Amino acid sequence: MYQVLTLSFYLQLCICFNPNVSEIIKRFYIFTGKGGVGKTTLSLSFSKYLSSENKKVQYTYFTNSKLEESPHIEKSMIAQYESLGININPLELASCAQGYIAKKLNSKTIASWIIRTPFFTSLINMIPGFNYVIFLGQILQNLEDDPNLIVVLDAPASGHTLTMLEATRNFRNIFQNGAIFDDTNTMLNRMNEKNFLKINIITIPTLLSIQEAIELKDEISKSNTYEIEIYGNYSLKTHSNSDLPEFLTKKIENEQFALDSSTKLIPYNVDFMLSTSESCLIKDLAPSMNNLV
Amino acid sequence: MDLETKQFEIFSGTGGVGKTTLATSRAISLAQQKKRVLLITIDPSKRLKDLFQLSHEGIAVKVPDPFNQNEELDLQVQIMNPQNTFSKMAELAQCTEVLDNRILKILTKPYGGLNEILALVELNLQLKTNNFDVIVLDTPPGNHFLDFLDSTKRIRVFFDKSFIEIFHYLGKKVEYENNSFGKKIFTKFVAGGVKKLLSYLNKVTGDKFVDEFIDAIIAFYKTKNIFLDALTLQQSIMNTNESNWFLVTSVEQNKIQEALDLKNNSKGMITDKTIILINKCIESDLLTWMPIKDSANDQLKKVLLQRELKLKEAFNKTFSSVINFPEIYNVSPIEHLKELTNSWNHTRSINGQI
Repeated sequence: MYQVLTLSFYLQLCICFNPNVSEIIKRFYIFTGKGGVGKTTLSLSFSKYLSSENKKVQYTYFTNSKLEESPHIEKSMIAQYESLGININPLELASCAQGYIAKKLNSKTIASWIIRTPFFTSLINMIPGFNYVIFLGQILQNLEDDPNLIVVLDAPASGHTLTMLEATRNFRNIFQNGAIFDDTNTMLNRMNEKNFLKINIITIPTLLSIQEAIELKDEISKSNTYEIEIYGNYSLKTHSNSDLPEFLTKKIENEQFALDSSTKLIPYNVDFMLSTSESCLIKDLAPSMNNLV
Repeated sequence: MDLETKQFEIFSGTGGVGKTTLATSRAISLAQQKKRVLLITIDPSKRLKDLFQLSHEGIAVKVPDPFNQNEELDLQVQIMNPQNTFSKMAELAQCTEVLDNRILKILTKPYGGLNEILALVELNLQLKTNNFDVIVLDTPPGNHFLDFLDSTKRIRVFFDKSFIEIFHYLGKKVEYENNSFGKKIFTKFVAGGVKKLLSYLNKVTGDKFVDEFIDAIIAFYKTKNIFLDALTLQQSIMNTNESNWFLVTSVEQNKIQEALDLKNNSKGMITDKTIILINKCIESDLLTWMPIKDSANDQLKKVLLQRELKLKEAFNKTFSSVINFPEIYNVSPIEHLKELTNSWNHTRSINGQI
């Protein structure tokens, strides 16, 4: 008994103090942050990293946000990512909604009729955030159906992500009973489970962007216990050397100043890479993505 | 080409590019030119609140000159708060009881999803006060901004189409304030097929929801005229004689395609007349740097330069008005703002480095 205790204590120590012991891989990763901070590139690189670790990963994104909006899918882009060994799963609102209702009513025919009624379209369009709850529900369903699956969601920019996360809670409060209430409740419980969901907020290493990332983190944390981490991107630090001109040295100093003023809040900064194409960039970044697990 | 001041100055962009700071410095610059200015921000960062020491959301607050030059500025700053705007509307429509509706309370929370539509209403209400020469609007980033552009259309569809469809199904309950009478009519009007739809929906949504939802849309409907009135704004906003549209991007944001897509997806709202602001330019600095040929630094210079030139080329090709703003190395927020305000003051013409 004593030995077992010591062993488990030792293991815990290892997990706490040994940086080489990898973090537990979660089931669901949400990449968010302001536009243009590199969410897509990092979530693709991250997916590539997990695949290289022999995990079953799906890189997921939303192709539209309204029922009447046709899905935005660029086949050439998907082919490019798939050639990198990344499994892509674009989600489309109508089929997600239809799938959900079909499951609830045990009938695909009725479901396809319901989602085409003007009443239902109006309902979805008039209640803000309904679309996101449907998407999130679909992702959680996919994770439920396949216990080995890991989903990496390239989420919409920060404000939208907040709406997405808030909507689930809002819906639970709006409906109060019935199937959607039960399901949103299940969704919230699932997402709040330990080691299930992690939200990676990506920022560029400037004071303003970091501050906004911290505000986003605080806003999400207000009503949830999700694991949220902020990561810097495009960090010039590693390119620092004595031959740099003054303006670049100043830029790197500012970067360092911004990072120092938020110590411990940003566990890892992704390097500014000199890669020549997007595919190369994803390949070059993938090995360092273990830091974002 | 000269950069003229218009009644509306609208700042949009992908976020994190310095949009709010550029909008703020523009507002200060205009106020320094003795204009009566209102700055509305929909996506407030704590930094803006700190800068002007704002503690209240949802109301326009007169702020002192942030640079303390003993100068009187006619500058007001307002942080959008959807709940506050909706309260204002309810008061104007004399139906404050709608504020008690549980579903509307949830939907008008920040991030409840009605931010953009209510922002447009707020803009209209402020315009009607006639207190301002210029209203500078800092819109939400990225797609949020497109939603904002689209919101006028959505309001129309919302009241004209969605409501009619729903009333068609549910009966003219809105016209019968007496609830029990309304319910009777409601039952009468619900045709067989609709009953079926509702019974299916009830299975999914819970039994109370459909009723409560109807109450919510009836409550919402009472503010209809104020929403529809906001639609008249669309023309002014769209008219380039009355508005300047700024699309902000930054050299550090790797988003050429997305910014260009904005133009294609904006359904004509972003035109050739849209003024592109490229923030954080370091080209002129980079060009003075002569690292050893083929060294690692040379490679760094090449990549940084190429990144900036590619962005500028893409924008110059697509838009006729592009203004470059230099990277500012001073980290103090107030100094940063000061330098940008100066940049605006020196913007005599567009299409070139300031």
